[in-house]
Amino acid sequence: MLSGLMNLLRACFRPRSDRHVHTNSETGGRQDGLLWYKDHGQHVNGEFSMAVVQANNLLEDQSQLESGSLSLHESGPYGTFVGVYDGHGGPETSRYINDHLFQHLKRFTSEQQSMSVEVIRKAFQATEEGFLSLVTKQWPMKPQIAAVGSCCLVGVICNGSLYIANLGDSRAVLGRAVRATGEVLSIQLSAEHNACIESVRHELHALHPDDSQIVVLKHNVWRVKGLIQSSKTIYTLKGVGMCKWWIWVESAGAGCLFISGKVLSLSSLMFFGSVSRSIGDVYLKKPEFNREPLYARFRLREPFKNPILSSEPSISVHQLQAHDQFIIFASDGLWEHLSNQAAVDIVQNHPRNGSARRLVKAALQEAAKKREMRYSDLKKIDRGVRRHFHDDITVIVVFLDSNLISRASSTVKCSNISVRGGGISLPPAALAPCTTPREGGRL
Amino acid sequence: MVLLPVGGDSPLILYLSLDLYNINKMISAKKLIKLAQKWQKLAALRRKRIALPRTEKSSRSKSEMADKGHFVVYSTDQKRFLLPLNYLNSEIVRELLKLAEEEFGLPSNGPLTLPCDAELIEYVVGLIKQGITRDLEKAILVFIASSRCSLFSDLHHQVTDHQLPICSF
Repeated sequence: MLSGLMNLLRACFRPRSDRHVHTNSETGGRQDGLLWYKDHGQHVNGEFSMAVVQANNLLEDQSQLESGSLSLHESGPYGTFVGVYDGHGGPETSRYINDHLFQHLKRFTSEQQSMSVEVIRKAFQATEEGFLSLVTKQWPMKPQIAAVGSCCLVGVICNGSLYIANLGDSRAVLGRAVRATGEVLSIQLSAEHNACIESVRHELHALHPDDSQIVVLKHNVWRVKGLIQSSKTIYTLKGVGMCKWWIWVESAGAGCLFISGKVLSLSSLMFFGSVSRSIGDVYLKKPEFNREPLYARFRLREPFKNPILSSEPSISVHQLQAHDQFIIFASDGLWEHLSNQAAVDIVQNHPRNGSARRLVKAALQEAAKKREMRYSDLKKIDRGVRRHFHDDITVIVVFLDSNLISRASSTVKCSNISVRGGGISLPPAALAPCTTPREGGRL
Repeated sequence: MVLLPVGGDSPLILYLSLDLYNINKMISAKKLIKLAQKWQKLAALRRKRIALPRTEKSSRSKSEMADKGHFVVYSTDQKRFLLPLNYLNSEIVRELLKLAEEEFGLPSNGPLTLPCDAELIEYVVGLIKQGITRDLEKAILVFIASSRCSLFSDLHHQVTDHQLPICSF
């Protein structure tokens, strides 16, 4: 009893700075204010490092690293699965993916008795369908769930191959050593979904031959003149250019442009933006959810027949080579502040331990600079209001040990590892959108 | 309680502060609507300005680091404001940040811009400095909310019916 009292007293007098630091027994990670990190861990093909910094009131980024058997059987195949899920409109979709995608993948691997592009594609599809049925079920009580979605980046290392599957704007970047120079080059592995942008741009330029500025690239985002990006808002602009009207709908990076009038037929509907694919966002995929009781501000005014967003991932397979050093998986919160090469250089030029946390710090320093403030002050800002200074950022650095990768997967025996990127979970009473606890945040 | 406007030579601020003074005394629906209309007019002006291609950093000096314990926001007329970090706890500042996000998105490559003129930011800063009363804070939040409604309405901006949630007072 005395020891209990002592513990209580110790807890009370612990210095404020480390009040939020504690070991998360479930994941082995540590929480320090709004930063969660696991500086070092071992997966079947090498080491890894993970870090997450929260900016939203509810963490919308979710992530996981699973290593060991990639099927439901002990016999494997063995390998490592990495997932980064950047949610938008709320955390529901990214959480759902975190809970289901890997389970689906294991099921399909067992059925096919091997890892393949097809297995990953089916796992994505099953996750999308599962989330759709969840939305259908919750729709009458909680219609806004139809407007929640998530990007989804997955990497699977198995039998010397690296599979990268991607929906949206998260990114996987490989660091590959160049033997001659000793440099480590960055190679982007994930596909970007911006093919639609090209076609929309050409179309707009054709429609507005006299206006070279109709579509402009600003801050790496293609913008249509007179339209300003916004999240979850619908604008109609009248009398711009030759169009009668157009509507720009955007939800956390995903944007749609609707053009109507004399120039294009009424049914013309185009999509562009950095996120043209996602899990969820059901209201942009199924017309039956683009209606009441979903709030009018989420809805599209123009009816549509074909899905505006796709849930078909881009999947690529790479044969890992001896000089492939590491892969950085990260949500766009990192990439909007660091270039691929800058991130690779940071990982390469420092100890492996804490790599992910170092990348997060570098991104936050850059974010502070852009907001013209000090990094030390940025860290003091509470979650919720913090989203105006930077996005949620998730980073997983997976180091590749060529000895472990070349070894036949069946001979690698180790217990399964499962790590989930952490965040602060709110007590239910504090879930109101505007409440941000004063004590919330120190990075 | 008399509210002295910051930089009181501006007739607009004087008007607003007198109006708010009256509201504070006796919250009248008429006055609220008047004030909301003021805000909406400013919002409309601002929209026009934003629609024009911006000359980057025209009146901005080379970006400098904020003092310790401060953050930086710009007004739509490109005035730079250095505000103490604890202003981020103000509901009004938070509401303006939300409105800015709806209006401009979250800028990934530059400083924050609030969707109001320098005059209005000065006014809000003045209120926070003096210690704003709860009622007045509520009243201002209502104006901001009504300005947001106008942003969401069609671009015709024919706001014919000002239904403000006055019953909340």
